[in-house]
Amino acid sequence: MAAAIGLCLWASAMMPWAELDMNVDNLPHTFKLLHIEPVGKALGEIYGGSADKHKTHLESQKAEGKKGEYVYSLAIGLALLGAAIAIAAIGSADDEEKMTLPEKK
Amino acid sequence: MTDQKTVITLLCERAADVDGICDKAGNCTTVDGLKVVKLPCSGMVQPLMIEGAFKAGASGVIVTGCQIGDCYYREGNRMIRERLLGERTPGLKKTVERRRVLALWLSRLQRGKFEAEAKEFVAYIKGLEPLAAAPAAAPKPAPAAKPAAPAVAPSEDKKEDAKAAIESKPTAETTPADADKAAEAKVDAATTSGDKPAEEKKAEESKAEEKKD
Amino acid sequence: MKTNIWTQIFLVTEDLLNKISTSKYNPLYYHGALPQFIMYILFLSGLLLFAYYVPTIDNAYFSKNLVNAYTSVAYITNDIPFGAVIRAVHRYAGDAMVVAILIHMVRVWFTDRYRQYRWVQWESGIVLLLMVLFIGQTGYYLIWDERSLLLTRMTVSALEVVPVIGEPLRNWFLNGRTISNLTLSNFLFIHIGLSFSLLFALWIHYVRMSRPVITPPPALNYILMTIIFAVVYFFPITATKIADLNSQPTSMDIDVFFLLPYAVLGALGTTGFWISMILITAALCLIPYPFTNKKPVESAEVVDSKCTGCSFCFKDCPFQAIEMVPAPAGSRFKLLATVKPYRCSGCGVCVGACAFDAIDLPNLLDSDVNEKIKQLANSQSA
Repeated sequence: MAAAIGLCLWASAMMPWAELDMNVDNLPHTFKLLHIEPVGKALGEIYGGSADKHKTHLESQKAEGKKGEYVYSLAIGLALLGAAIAIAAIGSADDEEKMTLPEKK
Repeated sequence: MTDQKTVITLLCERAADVDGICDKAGNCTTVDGLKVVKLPCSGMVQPLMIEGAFKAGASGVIVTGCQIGDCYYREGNRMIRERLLGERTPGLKKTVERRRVLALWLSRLQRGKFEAEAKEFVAYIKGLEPLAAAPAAAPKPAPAAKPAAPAVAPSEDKKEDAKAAIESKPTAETTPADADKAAEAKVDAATTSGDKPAEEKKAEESKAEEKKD
Repeated sequence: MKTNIWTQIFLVTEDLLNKISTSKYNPLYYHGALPQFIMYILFLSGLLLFAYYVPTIDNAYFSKNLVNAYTSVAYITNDIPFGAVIRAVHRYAGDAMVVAILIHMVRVWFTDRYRQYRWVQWESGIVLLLMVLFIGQTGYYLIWDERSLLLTRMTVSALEVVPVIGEPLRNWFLNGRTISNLTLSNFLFIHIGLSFSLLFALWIHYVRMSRPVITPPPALNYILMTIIFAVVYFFPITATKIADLNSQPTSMDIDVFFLLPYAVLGALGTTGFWISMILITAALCLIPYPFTNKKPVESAEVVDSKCTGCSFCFKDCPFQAIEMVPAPAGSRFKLLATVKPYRCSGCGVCVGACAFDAIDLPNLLDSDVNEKIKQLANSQSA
């Protein structure tokens, strides 16, 4: 459960990094306007290590278009997976194989 | 005197496979006092049948259908589930002791789970004090020569309960046949009383009331 | 209730999934609803692609650079934000739809939920499957790369050999005698128009079912989307070559879900292709009929004198087999329930819904059931 929420959050934070095409060197103006450049840099530090791996994989597959967008796709997929597991963990509590009837007043 | 540990199972023949642990008459060989009645679908279970079982001297009833979400006939198990919970008409009569009814939703391969749960339930029923109403209703051995007999017998028992309903109705002076019908109508917990033509309306009204509670 | 090896496989899988995900999230309980959800994904992603697609093979706007179907697809892929991903999602969701439909089909087949009172669902399902396959193929024409050209030519060769209507068919398909600018607009029309007619076919698919299950729980939708997004990442869109009408491409990559018929066409030739397609379709359509109708359904019967017209059975019937009709003159009630025997499954839900004993299964009277209950309840003390 905690792991699923963790995965969801981790992958959600990965999405903006992937959208920046896995490169936080030149942050767009939005970051400056909102004064959240440190956040951008932090994202780069957290996820930057895997950038090369993603790039080699996508290049070996001859991916067309921006590489970061495919990574974004992976990230949103993982975020949804985490969310799904967390939702299912909560929702399956009211699954029933055995049902007793509530007492009528 | 009725043995206080007879538990009737109303079982969907596509749910948990009990052929291996039951004889043809419906006696479960591995769980003492457990009887099985097979139906094509758990949706066929009428609340009347459950009440009938208690009237006949059973001390507990298990309803078994397929896993919720799966039903060969699409919705049977959902229907009986909602009827038992009182969310769908017809529901169980108020006088039925809810703790003596158990519902299990098990797929075909879950015989083990069925056995375990049934055993537990039978033990639980044994621990309860005997049903007060049962000895009064059950004594007739009910030879039932004609198939029509069982339909009549339980409704006779119901007459007393029905009286209250009849008295509150404008059609108090009715023939016995009508009284029987009224008794049956009373069974439907949601449609407590009312003239038949207006029944639909009343059912919805009383249902809405129940929900408010 | 005999079980063979196939039903056993399904039972074991079902049980396993129930243990892992609980019955509330068992994908096998939503096999029919999942294709429906995939359809929404396809509609949405398709709408985004449609916004930038230019259905011509010529230079559409007399611009300096060539603007046609192929270059507009390339523009979507390279310049529109997330264009490549949306293209890939559209493609793989299509594949997922075929997979989901096949799982749906195989499951209803092996759990025996396809014949007798369900024949309309099976036959309309076959139509839906064929429609989805054809829509998917037309999707591949639209890209207008070398593969599209080859597919178009193969389709034309197959259509031309159809007796009598072969030539009109070809002219309809190409929107003229040869491949021209109008061809692609026709392809686009077929692709989108047929997609929306899926809704009509779905209506027929659902019309005999009360409350069809068409929305899987969100958690399952998310997992499905995870699978699609992951496939997008691991098998991204790759560059292709623009179609050149003067070239003669002879081979292509086969998408196993949609382009299999073309592999058959390539292997068997046009006549063999049509014969095999017709045979396969006919076989699929006939599955519910022959020799398998072991015993006919004994439909429920209403006891007219007892029916109060409360319509509980009408509301509960899962197959819309009960109709409320005006009660005959002289009745104390307004309505009377009647059973449409050809729709009835004999499940007995209506018996359970009736508080007045007014509806019965002829092969299992509820009075018999009550009698058996009584007998069993008393047997111990006797």
